Amino acid sequence: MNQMINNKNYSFRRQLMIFLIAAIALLSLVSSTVSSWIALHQSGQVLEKNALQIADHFSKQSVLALLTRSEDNAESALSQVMGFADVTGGAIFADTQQALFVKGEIQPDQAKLADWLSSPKPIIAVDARDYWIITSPVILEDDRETFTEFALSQTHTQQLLGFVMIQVSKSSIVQLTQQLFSYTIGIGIVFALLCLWLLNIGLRRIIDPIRALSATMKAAQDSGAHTYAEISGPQEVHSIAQSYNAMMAALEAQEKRLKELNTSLESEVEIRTKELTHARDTALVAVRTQSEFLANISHELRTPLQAVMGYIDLVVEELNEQGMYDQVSDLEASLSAANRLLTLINSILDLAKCEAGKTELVLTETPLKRLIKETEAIIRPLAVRNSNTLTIHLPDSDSILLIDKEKTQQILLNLLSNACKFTKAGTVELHIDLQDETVKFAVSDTGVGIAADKLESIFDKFSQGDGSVKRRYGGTGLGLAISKHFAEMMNGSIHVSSAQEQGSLFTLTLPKQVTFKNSLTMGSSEDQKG
Amino acid sequence: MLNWKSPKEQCRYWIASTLLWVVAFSASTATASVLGVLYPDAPPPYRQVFSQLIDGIRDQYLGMVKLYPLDTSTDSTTLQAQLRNDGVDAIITLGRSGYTQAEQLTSERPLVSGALPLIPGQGTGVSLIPDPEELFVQLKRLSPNIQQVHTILSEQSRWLEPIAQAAATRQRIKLTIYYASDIASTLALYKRLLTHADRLRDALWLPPDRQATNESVILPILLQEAWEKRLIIFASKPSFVRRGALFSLFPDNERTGRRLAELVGSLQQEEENLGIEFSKSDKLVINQRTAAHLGIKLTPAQLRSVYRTYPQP
Repeated sequence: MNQMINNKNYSFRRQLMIFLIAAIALLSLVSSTVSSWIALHQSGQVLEKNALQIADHFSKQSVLALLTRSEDNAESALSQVMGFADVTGGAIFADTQQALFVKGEIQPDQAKLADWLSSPKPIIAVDARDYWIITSPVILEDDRETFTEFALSQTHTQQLLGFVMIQVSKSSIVQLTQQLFSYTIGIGIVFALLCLWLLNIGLRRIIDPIRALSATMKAAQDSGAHTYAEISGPQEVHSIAQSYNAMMAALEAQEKRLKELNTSLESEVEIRTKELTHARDTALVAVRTQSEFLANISHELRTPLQAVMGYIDLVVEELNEQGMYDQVSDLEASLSAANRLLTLINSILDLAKCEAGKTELVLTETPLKRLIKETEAIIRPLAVRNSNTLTIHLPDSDSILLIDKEKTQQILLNLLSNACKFTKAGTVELHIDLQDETVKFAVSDTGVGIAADKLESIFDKFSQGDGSVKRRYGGTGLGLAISKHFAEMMNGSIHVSSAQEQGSLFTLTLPKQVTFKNSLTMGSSEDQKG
Repeated sequence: MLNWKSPKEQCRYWIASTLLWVVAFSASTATASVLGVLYPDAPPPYRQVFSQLIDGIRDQYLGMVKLYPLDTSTDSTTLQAQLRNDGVDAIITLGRSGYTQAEQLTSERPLVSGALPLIPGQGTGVSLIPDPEELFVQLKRLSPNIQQVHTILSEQSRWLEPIAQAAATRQRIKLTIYYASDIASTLALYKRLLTHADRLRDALWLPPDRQATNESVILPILLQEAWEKRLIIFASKPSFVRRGALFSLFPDNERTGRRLAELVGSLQQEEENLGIEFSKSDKLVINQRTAAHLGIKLTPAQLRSVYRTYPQP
């Protein structure tokens, strides 16, 4: 039943009808059974009472028959008692329990007769399935005054004359019960059919608007259009239809607004995209132009500067030969300044190349120890200048790296020179750690360190902590930017960790075997040597 | 002012006056006694019977009459003390309660009973049983052609035979009495009697005998068969008229009350051989339907004298 009701294949109307049929059928069955049982019980009690009264009446009617022992009198009494519908037999017994007159269908059990006839009042001697046997004593009583004050004595004599017995059929009760059951069931069925008919009509009136609403909703679902429902039916369906229409109206309005927004957004995106593309192109052109400009400028500056430096060098040599040492000193200062300027120009040139995408990797097989040794030779004088202790920790075994040696060395020189520059009478250490696929160079110092808020921008161009650093320690502020560029070109990375007045730690990680990102030049160690 | 004619006349006057005063005084002393009436505190409509009896007593008795209503809580000792305190020196009992209480009293007061079906030998009083002679008188008035009356008695009613025979003789009626030992034989006797009775000359008397007039067995058969044979049945018991007997006599309670008071007076005068008397009454109770069936037409004078008729409208 529950499954049936939960079955989605059945409509609401059908489920309700099935439920109602089941309920009415159950009700009819239960009411029929209960009413039949009650009728049987109550009819039984009534019939039983009537039967006892009939027996009592029969006993009174039998007094004459027992007094006279007249068959006619007995026949009269028996005929009267047999006149009752349910009485099927009767018998009159003498006080000696001898059957005197018997009529109809009655078969007294002689063995139990003594027990049956022992009661001083009418009793049901046998309560069989189909009948009762009722016995009653026949007593002759003397007359009594209705008002005892007019009688001399209160004594009342009774004389037992005999007994009577009747057999009462229960068929009328059974028939009544069966009829009642049939009628109740019949009425129940008729009532159920009537209810179904009325319910069918009523449900149609209720469900048809729901169906129409459902069809409207499905049509809206299938077509995507904003279909409105017809408002009809019961109050609840009316409300649902109104809510649905309101929802449709809201959806329609929202969709319209969405479309408008979408249209305006698309236009805006298009405009923005165009603007961004233009800006990007402009920026790219600007960067390229800038880089090209810088490269050209640097080249144009470097050439005369190198010429100046060459002539200064020649002049210095001539002055040394002539013993004009004071002038030599001045010229050497000029040469030094020229060198710094050259370095700056070179750096700018390198960075410009990088940003212009003109720097190329030249990968060569480079022995690690050799690289470090060459680097140490360059950097140690710088360490000594600031009274720093330079310590290099090399792995026990050497390794051949496929890297751009020049760029790697430039990175290391940048990092080590910075360490030496910003450390006074401290320690500068280089740790090299060979791993499976990578090689890690860790440059640490005990110098001034970098403020935490500057760490993020330390690899930006012209970034040197703050202005005071530049003034105090000099430099271009391009070294770390170039180093980061070179490291990334080789698929590596540079990281820094530092705390102010606590020193710094720069870690360069490079693949042991650098591969090309683009089509870059592949050199050899021999070339480098040459 | 009296005008005396002579000293002789004057003397006669004084002698007569003196004698009258003596007689009046003696009478007043004789009736100054207190009569106690013991009667049941009965509910209506029976209370009326006792009221009428008491009215009759009061009407007749010259002394003081004190009433003692009895109920189930009445104690004989208390009653006796009360009677003594009240100075009661004669008692009339009405109904069974009074009769029973009086039997327990130990005093030697004159005692008369009434409102009971008393039979001879049960003291002094007036029985509820109507006088057979009055029944015969009424029978003769209603059906003058009746010459013979049949009745059946049990042994318990044998005392009635001489009284009834004497009364019948006085009324020039032949009374034939049969005796039956039980109801079955009573029934058989009635059957035989009805078979042989002559409806023009014979009548059947239902005497004050419970066996002979058993109401549940005999009376219905008897009345039915008598109806069929158109035989006159009259009864000592008025209630039988309602069931189909032709007539009976209803007790005249006030008259009975007066007679009870007379009997008490007689006992106080130490008269003897008073015994039980039948109820004297001329209150005829008649079943008009039976009378019509039997062809008895009542004259207007007879109808006026009828106390009650059945069936009642």
